[in-house]
Formats: sequence, structure tokens, C-alpha cells
Amino acid sequence: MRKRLLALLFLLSSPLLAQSQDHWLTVQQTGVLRWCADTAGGAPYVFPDAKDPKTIIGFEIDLMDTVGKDLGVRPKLVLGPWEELVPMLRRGDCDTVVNGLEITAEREKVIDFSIPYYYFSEQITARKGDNRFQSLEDLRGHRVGTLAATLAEDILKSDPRVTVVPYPSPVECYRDLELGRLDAALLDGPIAAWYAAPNPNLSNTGEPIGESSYGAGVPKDSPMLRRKMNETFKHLIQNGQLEAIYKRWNLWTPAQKKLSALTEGEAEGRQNQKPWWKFIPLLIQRAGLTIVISCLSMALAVLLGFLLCYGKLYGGRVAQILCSGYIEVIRGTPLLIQLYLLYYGLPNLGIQLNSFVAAVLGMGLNYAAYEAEIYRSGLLSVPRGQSDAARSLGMTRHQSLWLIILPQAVRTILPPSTNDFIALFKDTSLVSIITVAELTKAYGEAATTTYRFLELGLVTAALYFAMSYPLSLWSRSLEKKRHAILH
Amino acid sequence: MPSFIEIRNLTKSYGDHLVIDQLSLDIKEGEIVVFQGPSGIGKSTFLRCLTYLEPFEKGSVRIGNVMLRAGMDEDRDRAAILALREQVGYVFQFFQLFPHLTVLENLTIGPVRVLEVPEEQARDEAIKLLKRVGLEQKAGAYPAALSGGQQQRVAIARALAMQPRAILFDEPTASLDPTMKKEIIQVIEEIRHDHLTMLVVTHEPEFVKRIATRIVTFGAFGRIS
Repeated sequence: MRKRLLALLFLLSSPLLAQSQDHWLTVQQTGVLRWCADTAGGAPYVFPDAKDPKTIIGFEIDLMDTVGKDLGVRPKLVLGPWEELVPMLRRGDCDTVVNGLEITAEREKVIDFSIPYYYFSEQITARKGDNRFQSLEDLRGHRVGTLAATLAEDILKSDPRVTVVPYPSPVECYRDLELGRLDAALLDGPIAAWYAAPNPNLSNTGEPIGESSYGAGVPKDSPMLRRKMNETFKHLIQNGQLEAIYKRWNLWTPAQKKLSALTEGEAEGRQNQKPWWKFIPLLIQRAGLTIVISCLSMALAVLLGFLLCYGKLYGGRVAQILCSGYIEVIRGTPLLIQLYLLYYGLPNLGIQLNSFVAAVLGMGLNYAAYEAEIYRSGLLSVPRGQSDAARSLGMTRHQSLWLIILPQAVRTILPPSTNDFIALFKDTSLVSIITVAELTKAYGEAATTTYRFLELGLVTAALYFAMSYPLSLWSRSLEKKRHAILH
Repeated sequence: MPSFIEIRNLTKSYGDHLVIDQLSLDIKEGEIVVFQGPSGIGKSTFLRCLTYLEPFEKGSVRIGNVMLRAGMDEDRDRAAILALREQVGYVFQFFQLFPHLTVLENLTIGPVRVLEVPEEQARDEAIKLLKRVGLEQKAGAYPAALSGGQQQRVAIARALAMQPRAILFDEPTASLDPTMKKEIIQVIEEIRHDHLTMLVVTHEPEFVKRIATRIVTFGAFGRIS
């Protein structure tokens, strides 16, 4: 979320940057061509070499090296998250994006494209031996994974009977397919060829679907750079260097023959663009899921937090050590890592949780630690004389806790606990990384489709605020009430 | 007549600091014993030991027919400890009313939850007790709305609501101004009867003059005279 907000702030300033000169002039002056790509799950495009992770390889690395030689400049790789590459280009972090970026009409509204340098189709992948999925129609009524903000996602979403699960990178997508969390996956041919084909548990099935092409993205204000890229690509197509690269990476397909027939400006677009405000109902609907996850995980956090606190305060030695240990470990590690471990890590032990359960568990188990500490300080804030008085009446320790100590502690506990709930509520945005389609995930999907990061971001923020502000009012009134009774 | 309270070799220390060393004492039913002595000498600790609010290392305490021995565990020996506390009321220097309950609820929570008296009966008796301490009109108020003297009168009524055979008073007037002190001494004077034993830790000479049947002076290490 924070990253997106930052991107949003930069977008706001982009009209200023748009006044700058054609990037080709800068490239000429500096002798450096800066190009954006993402290495996460990036094979065979741009990815860390398994033998030496410090070295980044891929067919696009080879491509850009060749482009650089042809243009007489030095290519320099700028890394960024894939869905941010276009915004990065727009604010001038790089001169071009070369990273499996499909030429689409939506993108052409905000950036320009070179001629295609690669043609590809979408590929269905299923578990080995599962022959149900030969065409798009076969995917109806099934859970199908794909990469977020790609042509494949659009194709899948055009059929409402398909349950689409978008992932940030292909690795997690194919892993969930192996684990049975998905029935099938639809991704770009090169990705399927690289990741799925060598996997003994998966197989690519059916005919290739649709056809699209990758082009180099260039800023709208740089027609010269675009022309230079086009000239270079044509050159490399004609002299066979492009074909050599693709053959080296096993990516040569008959479709690439179309490359030689290319002339400038033929980049194809796609229809059915939605205005950004049409995504608002989707955001509101996903806000519902955010509420459900928040409430369920808070219930878990309250319950477990109380047990932890009880164990730490009144338990035996072993219980005290266990509870303290749990609280310290949970508070000392990032929630994001805990979610990853729950969802992607546990399957290594044979325990498989669906993403919703993992989200609720992850948030609940995490916040339980914080709740426990709130409860503990709440219980300790009740003067010792109160428990003396309760015990003197002949109450058992349980009676004293439930009838005397806890009701007084609750007034101390409620305000910080409510604040914790507000924080949890906003932290649910993190579960978007384990494929839960809540509000932040919906924002990501809508914004990367329309490039309306600002408008949709403001709507999303407003939704979060509308949901958390009443809680914060409630918390404040509780604090006042507490003051009124006890003082 | 056999003694009602029988303390034998009671020994209590905090770490290396010995507070009470082998104290033995017998108290008969209906006696009103005032404990005197310098501050910090261990009088309050002594009272706390009697109902095992404070565990002790050596010796034993018998009140009525319940015997508490050193080394008992609040969980394991719950039955004996609770049985003893049920028949011994406790009034603290700082009242320790339950601030989240009304005055009436402060009086009924013990009988209802511990003695399992029916709620209605407990309420009737509580109102009678509030009349005795002159606070029936405060039944629905919360403790924070009461003056210190009124709070201590409620605390005494709360102890009486359990129909105890003995009441321990730990400096019951020390945190009150002189008018309120008189109120409390008067109330205590009014509630005494032949079968109620009272142990009072106090510096207040009025107690000695008006109600004490016996005076015990605490010296170092709980040596008494």
C-alpha cells in the first residue's frame, strides 16, 4: 500500500516531468539506455542466475545487450516491481520498459510502444494427467490462476464463470496449482514453457490461446526514442540476431515469422476498456471481504490473546515460558513473513491452508500477541488491594478474576484494544499477497488495468477511512466513559 | 472455654528480612483485641497471614475449626483457605470497595457468589446492613461518589454481609479525617456482639478507650506483650 501511495505521489508530479526533453537526447548525451524490468519470478525474461544469483540473465538481457550494441549505447537495468514498471517509466526512472509488456490499448493511453519484438500466446497448464482443460470453455466453473495485470487475466475475466486468482509472480501461481489450490493456470507461453514444462507434476495442455505481442514501452514524450527502438528491432529481425537469441532460449515459435512482416505503428490494441469509476462497485464489494477477515481474525486474536495473557500471568512455569516465547517471537517478526510462511511455507510440511483461512489465521495469530500484552497490562493496572478484598470474601481465584479484576481491567483494555482492531483492519491489506481478493488487491487490479492510480487510490483510501473512523470514535467515547465512572 | 483463634509459632519473612518470629497467641470468642506498636513492625502482615492473604513459612493458625499450616498452596489447599476466609471478614485501610459495582452490589456479591444465598435474600439483608451503617439511601451509588468515611462504612457492611465470626480491621481509620474517624469507631462499637471476635490494628487511642477488651503491643519480630 505504502509503495502504491508513493507511486501515486510521483504520478501527481508527472505532468512536470512530462515537460522534459525526448529521452533519446538524454540517452545520446549520457551514452546510457536505462531500461526497467522485474526479476521476481522473471524467468525466462529477466531473472537471477540460479548458479550465481548476483548475475541477472534472461532473453531480454540478451536482447537489450544486442540493442545497446546496435544503438552504440550502454544498456543499464533498473529494477522495480512488475506492476509498477509503467508508472516508473512515466515518472522518468528509466527510458524504456522491456519486460514482457504486452501492447494493449489501455497501456497505449499512457505510454507508447515500439513495434513488437516477440509474439506469444496464452498457455493452459494443469496438473499432470488432468486432461479436462483443452480450451477456454473448459475452464468455466474452475479456479484458474494467472499473473495480475496481464492479457491472460483479462481473457479469464471476460468469462464470469471462471474463478480468476491473480498472482504477483508465476512461481506462487504454479505452486498453488501443484498443491491443488488451483484447478488450472493460464499464463504467457514463454512463462509456461520455462516454469511449468520442466515441472514433473504439471503439464501444458490444449492449444495456445489468443495472440499478443511484447513491445518496448517508451514515454509519450519521446517519439525519437521510439523511432530508434523500432529501427533497431527491425535491424535485428532482418540480420537474424533476434531469432538467434530466441533459439538460444528455446523461445522460437512459428508465430515469430510475423516479426519480419512488421512495419511501424502496427501494434495491435484490444477493446473493452472500462472507465475507472466502473470499478467502484468492485472496490465496495471487496471492502466487505476486508470486514469479514478483520472481524474473524480479531475474534481469534481476542480469544488467543486472553489465553496467552492468562498463561503468562497465572500459568505454571512452563506455560509462562511458552506464552512469553510466543508473544516475543510473533512481535519480533514481520507479519508479511508470517503470512508467507503460513500460506506458502506450511505446504512443505504437508499442511495446506486455503488463502482465506491462512489470512484469518495469520492476522489472528499475529494480533493475539499484541492483544495479550494489552490484557496483561490491563489486569496489572487493577490495584492489588482489589484482589485482596475479593479473596477476603472467600472468592476463588477464578471468581476474583472474572467478577472483580476483569470488569475493572476491561475499561483499561478496551480503548487500546479498539485501536489495535483499527490497525488490524488496515493491515488486512497485506493478505493481498497471499491471493486474498480483498480491498487493496482489488485496488491493485483496477489501477493496473486503468492506470487511474490516483482516483482509485483515493476511493480505496476513503473506503478504509469510512470503515475505521466509526471505530475510532467508539474508542474515544469508551475512554471518556471510563473516566466518568472510575474518577 | 477453648480459644476461638489459636496461633502457634507463626513465622513470616520477606526474603532475608524476618518480620514475625514464632508468634503464638490465643484469642477467645467475642474478644476485641487491639494491636498497637510502631509503624512497619509487622502488624498488618500479621493480619494478612491470619487469612493466608500472605503465606507464611512456619507455624499454624486455627480459626474456629479450620486449621491453616505453613506451606499451604492457594490452589491445592483451596478448600481450607476459602472455608477460613468465609468466616473471617476483612476491613482495609483504603476500603477496597469494588469501583465497578454499586454499593448494594458490593454487599451482595460475596453472599450470592460465595455463600450462594438467593439474590433477593442477599439484597434484603444488604439493605438492612446499609440501614445499620446509615447509608441505605446510597444503595444505588457507585463507590467513587462516596466520601472516605462513607466508603469505610460500606466496607464494614460488606464484611458483615458474609455473617463472619470474626472481623479483622487493618488501620480502618488511618486514612480518614477526625470526624470520619469518629463515625467509624461508632459503627464498630455498634456492631459488636458476644459472638463476634474483632482484631483491630490501629494507632487510634479512642479504640482502646471505648471498645478494646484486650491490648497487644507489637515489638520487633512480632514479639508481643
